[in-house]
Amino acid sequence: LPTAELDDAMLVAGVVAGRPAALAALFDRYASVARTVVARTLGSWTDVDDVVQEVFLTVAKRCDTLRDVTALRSFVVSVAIRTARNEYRKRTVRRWVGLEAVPASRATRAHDDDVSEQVRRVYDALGEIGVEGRIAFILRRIEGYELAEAATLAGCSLATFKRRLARAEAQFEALCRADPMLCRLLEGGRS
Amino acid sequence: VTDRFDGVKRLLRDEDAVADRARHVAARARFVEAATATRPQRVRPLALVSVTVFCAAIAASAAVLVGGRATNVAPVASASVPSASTSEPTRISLPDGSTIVLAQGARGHVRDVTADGATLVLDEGTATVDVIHRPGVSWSVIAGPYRVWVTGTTFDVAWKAEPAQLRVAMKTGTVRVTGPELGDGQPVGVGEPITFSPTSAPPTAPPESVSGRETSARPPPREAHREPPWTELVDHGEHELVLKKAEAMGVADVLATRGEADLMALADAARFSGRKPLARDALLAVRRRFPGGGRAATATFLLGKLDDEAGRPSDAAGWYERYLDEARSGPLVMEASARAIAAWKRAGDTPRARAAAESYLRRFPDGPSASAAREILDR
Repeated sequence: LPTAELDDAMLVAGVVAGRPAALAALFDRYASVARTVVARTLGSWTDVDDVVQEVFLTVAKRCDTLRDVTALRSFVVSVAIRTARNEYRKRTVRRWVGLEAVPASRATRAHDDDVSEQVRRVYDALGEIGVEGRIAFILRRIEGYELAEAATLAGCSLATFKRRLARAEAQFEALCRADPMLCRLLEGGRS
Repeated sequence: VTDRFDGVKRLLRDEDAVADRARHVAARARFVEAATATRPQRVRPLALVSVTVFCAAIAASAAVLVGGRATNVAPVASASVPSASTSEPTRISLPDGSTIVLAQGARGHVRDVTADGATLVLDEGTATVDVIHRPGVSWSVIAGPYRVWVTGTTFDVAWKAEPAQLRVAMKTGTVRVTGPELGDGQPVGVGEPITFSPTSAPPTAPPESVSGRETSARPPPREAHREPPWTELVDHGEHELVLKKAEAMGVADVLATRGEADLMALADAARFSGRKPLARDALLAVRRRFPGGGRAATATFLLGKLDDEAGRPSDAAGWYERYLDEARSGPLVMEASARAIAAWKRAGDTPRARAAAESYLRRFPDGPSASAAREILDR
């Protein structure tokens, strides 16, 4: 079968066997979602590709532990979250000890200046929230996962996830309300 | 339902649409090259293990380990290998995907190897342990009188017998250490390394205290004996510990006497560990003993999820609909509505699937499952 037609079970079998075509298909299928989850967790697109590499190497290495092969997408997302969370903590530590500067402006991918500014401010606001709250907000409010699945992906209980989400939402909303450009976003508009 | 964060979602999702094909192709090539290049390295340490450190039983099951598939693991639950000292850092891959790297000069052996974990007995020196977190994982490290209980994490553990001293440095996650004077155990999280010494040993400064970053846990702080709430244990991934506590108390007693928070924590621990019948019993106990509350409604939803996962879609749909009756404005209403449609559909009950779809569209005309609901009604 052409790799594009492989279902996840066949893809997993190919990845476990180390077939290059299956590895490439895995990357084609899930790089986009991994990239966005990583970028949003880190709050920046800077060096996202390096982290995504780490995500896929982990996925490839641990694919043989996947019991439910139909859950490949969730598996990739959960590895992406775990890797990004670790990277975020490493960066935070490096900033504390002065080995890494806080980026003066967050790199975004939007071409329009106004939109780019708006995206930057959203990331800045998300950056004010703790990493666990940000992960909860991203999974639920941006990626649109159901609460139960989002909690599983975040690696916590449903109750904890709901607490984190509620706190993150309140924080994020307060930050948005304090910024006229983001306030309009909450009301459904763009600048 | 209007989500006040829809504007944010749209903004960030539009940003995602800016694709860079060339960068993607380059990144893919880099990944495929790295993944195929690293594959032999996964096998090589095992060969090394078989000739240097871990002979006997591990060597006998080398084919199993090289295969790397947990499902192919031979019954090696009692496997044990003699201790040996490593002349150079040695990497060991276990059937569950976890890895141990023994530092130069470390001595130890692995026993109780199963598809769900193993026990590392560390006689001397430092080991870096990387355990993959998943339900049912059963992993521990024994060092002298101490035992480090692992649920899925990466950490360094160092043991020296004279004077007796255990040092645990977490890289990710948490572990629980049991041993002399530690009662039910002391959780250790990411941060400064923690050093444990039995009180009988003479007080000594931590071996690497020149950095000033070590923390001695001798004698164990009073907080170490505090009984952490089960919800906290579950949040730290200590599912097995919660299950062990419940079993030690007697599951029937627990279900009959513990509060609803503990019962929900027990249900979570059981679900995450693959103990579905126990999870079901705990959720039913919440419903029976604490009816009408938010947790009872959540329990109803989770009972549906359990039945869904067990391939009982009709029962699952029944629970979801019961949740919708009991928690008209609960936080899981949208999920329960969508899941009810899918469950009835899987059960082959078209009239009920249609009714559930109509109900969903009345409540959430723009919800994430609206198009699927309309599809069912259009058939």
